[in-house]
Amino acid sequence: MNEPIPIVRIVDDDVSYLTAVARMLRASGFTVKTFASAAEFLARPELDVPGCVIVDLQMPELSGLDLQEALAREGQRLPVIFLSGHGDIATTVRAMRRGAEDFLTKRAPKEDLLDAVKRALDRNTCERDARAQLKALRERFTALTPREREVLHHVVQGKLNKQIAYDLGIHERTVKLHRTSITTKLGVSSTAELTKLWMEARGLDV
Amino acid sequence: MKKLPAGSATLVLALLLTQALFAAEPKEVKRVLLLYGEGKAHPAHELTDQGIREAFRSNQLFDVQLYPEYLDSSRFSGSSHAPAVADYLRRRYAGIKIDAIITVYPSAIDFLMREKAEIFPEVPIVASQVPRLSAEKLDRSPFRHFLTGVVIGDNSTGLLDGALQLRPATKHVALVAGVAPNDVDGEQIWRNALKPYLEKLRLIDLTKLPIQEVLARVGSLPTDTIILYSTIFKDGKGVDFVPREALTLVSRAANSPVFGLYESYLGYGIVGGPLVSWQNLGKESALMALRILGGASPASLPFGGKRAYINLYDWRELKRWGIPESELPPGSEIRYTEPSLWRDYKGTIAGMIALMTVEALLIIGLVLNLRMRRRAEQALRESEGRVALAVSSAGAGLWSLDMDTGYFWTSDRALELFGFAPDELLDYEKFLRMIHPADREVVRQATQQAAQSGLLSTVDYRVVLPDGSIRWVASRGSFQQSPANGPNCLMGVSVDITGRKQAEEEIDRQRNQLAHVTRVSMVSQLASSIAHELNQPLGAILRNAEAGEMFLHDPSPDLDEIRAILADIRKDNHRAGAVIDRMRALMKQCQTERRRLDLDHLANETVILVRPDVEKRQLRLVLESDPALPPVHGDPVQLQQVLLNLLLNAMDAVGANPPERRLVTVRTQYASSGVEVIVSDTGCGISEEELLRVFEPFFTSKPNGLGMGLAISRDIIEAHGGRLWVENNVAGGTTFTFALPAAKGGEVK
Repeated sequence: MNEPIPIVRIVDDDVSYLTAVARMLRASGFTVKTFASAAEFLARPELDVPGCVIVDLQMPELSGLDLQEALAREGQRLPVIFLSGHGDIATTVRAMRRGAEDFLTKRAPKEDLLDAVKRALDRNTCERDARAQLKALRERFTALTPREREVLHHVVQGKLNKQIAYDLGIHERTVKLHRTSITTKLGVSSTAELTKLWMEARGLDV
Repeated sequence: MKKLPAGSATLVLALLLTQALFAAEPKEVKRVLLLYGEGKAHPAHELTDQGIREAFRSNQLFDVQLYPEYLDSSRFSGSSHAPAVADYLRRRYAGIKIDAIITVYPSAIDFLMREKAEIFPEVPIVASQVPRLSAEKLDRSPFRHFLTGVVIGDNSTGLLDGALQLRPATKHVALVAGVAPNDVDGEQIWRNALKPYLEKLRLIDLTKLPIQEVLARVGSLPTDTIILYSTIFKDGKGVDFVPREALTLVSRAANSPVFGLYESYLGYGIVGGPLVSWQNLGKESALMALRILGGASPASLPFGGKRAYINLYDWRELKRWGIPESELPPGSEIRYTEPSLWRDYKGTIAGMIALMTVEALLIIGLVLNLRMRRRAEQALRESEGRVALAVSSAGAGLWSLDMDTGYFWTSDRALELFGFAPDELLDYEKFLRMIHPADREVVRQATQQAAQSGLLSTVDYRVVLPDGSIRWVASRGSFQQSPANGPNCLMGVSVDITGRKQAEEEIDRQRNQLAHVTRVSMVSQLASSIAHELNQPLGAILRNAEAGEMFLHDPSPDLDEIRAILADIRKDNHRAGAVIDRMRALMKQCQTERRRLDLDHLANETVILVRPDVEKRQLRLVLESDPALPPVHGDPVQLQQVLLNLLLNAMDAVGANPPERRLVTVRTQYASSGVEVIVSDTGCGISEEELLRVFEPFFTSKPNGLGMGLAISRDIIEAHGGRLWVENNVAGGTTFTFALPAAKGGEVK
């Protein structure tokens, strides 16, 4: 799959700082988009595009924390890096507890900022990959018929064909046929592999 | 009598001659038909006719001949009447050229609209006294090109308001009207006018009734009723009436005051009010006709009738209903007053009383004067002794200065005060040389001003004594014009005020120190804001520098980009510098320095100072500034301290509110008390008891407050000749205001 280029979004009402940090990140090879307020960002967040958000904590009207909250409400997982003129402990704790990627002062060393951005982008990529895999897995399981699913539930509990046939009130030969169909559809070659796949897919409600 | 010079005699003669010549020239004859809707005896028509004739008589342009005709349409309403009159008019005016027509009443114009094409083709018309609705219809009609008009003042609302003002307790309003078409039109006008009042007033409908029933009903109306008499041309039984005669019957039988719209009703039983003046309406119609005769196109003349009301009242009716004359609107005219001695001989009686009073006062005055003079002589003798004693015991020096010769006489004490040897001979220039150079000009100017105003108001100045020490002296005096001292002699007294001045300076110094301490404590409150405000530009500088370095690693760096980066770095450096400058200004301990300054600029600067704190605390801070504010005279550091103190208090006050109600407003304005700076918050206000104490030293409502902020703020403002006060807002929260006198003259630089 062709993954789009991740974008680093920067939100700061101080245009001077906004321009400067965008310049530095561009020079470091990132693709950058700037917003002068949280509202401007939330109006067109383009959430499908991977990346992260760097946001000033103190802004008039909507603050950085408000922006984080708005993203969380929409179920978005874009990593958020907070910047502050000077960090005070209370707000730092609040931001981190809500899952901030990082919390830096505006005069933090360049390396810290670049590291934070790289970490955020990596995490975003991982998360997106994981989500994509999970999605593929779910698609594979949806190919099973209800009866096949029933049989599968028994199989991963380690039951023998005879037991399964007895439990479900069907013929043992029919159970065998279902098992073949299941392994073919899920593309696995052994019961061990099948059980492993099942474990991965747990939580996917199959 | 003086004889007129020959020249003016000639002039007078010439004038007389020209006038005679003009008079001799025959004026053009114009014939105007007056078509009245009702009969000749109709009172409104009589008054209208007077107005029309008066206007035509006083015109200088034409010899106007009037042809009045009366349609009598209320009495003759049958279908054959109109054609018969039309036929009559056609035959009557067959050989006469009519130049203009004035119709009076809607019935007349209606008649003419139906019959005119045959009788008077293409003759311009002034339709006088038509209701507004008909006027609007006519205004849009195809006849408009030869027709204009005067709207009958439908002033029913004005009259009603007037009546209700005289009878404020009114609860009922009885409407009286007949059944003739004119009656019905009038009734409708009243009904429309009454509509908005019917929530408060109950309408008693006495329209379209036989006269006997009307009379019976108006005699037994509930209390607090007013009667509105519209018209009765014809009563419910079909009996014809002249409306004002029916009015008299109604008014006599009524148990409540009667009001009507028209001037012609006055004296026949109405109380009065802003009445429609038929005479004025007639005059206006005639003037319109004259403009048309003079060549104006009727279509170019808009409908008139806007100002045809006069405030008239019937004295007898006012008495009858117990309405005092003082209740009437200003400019009202009262008619039908009873003759009385006071009314008829007011001037004479008042004159006599005044004369007697003056005489009595004169006699009393003379007696008193005599006694006062005796006492004054005695007092003068005593006071001379007292003055001498007072002067010597106060250590005051006396002096007199002859402004013409510069001769300067001083008492021994004054000589000593000014730092001269006991036997030195003085003149004004010598005296000026003893004064501290910085004060010399002040003294010179005060003396010059005294020469003009006659009074030397107190002037404080420093004298440099021969040993180099400084003595503060206050002088005041006035011009004496007695011949003994010469005509131009300034006399005065001077005292040593060095002690007082030193005490004042000490107070000033202490205030400065205290102000500095409170300022520093305020700045420490702002410390985190300041750090934030500094970190913004410093952070931007850092990021820009880093970006610049990276660009330089490039084998062919983008020089334009690097130039932009350097410009931004420079800009942010200035920004950081400005933050530090503002801080230093607040922190520095300096002597009071008064200069002209713009409070609006100061407010802006102060708001910038707290802006980061505002964001951090999620408040809203609104600055409503008046850019045309006159300058004040003051110490910028201290005044900023006051404003900062008020702002920080206001921000604390709203802290407990939910974010959307954390509003602090700073407003500057120029008011009667001077240049005002107003700081309002939407907090929970201050209790009445605490309101009195907030300016007391060590009074505080904050856990870690010093309790000095407001006390020192008030001290600073009062030292500037201003005032600082506090009020609770009606809608909650508190408003602190300080007002300073505007600096004299000119705008801020």
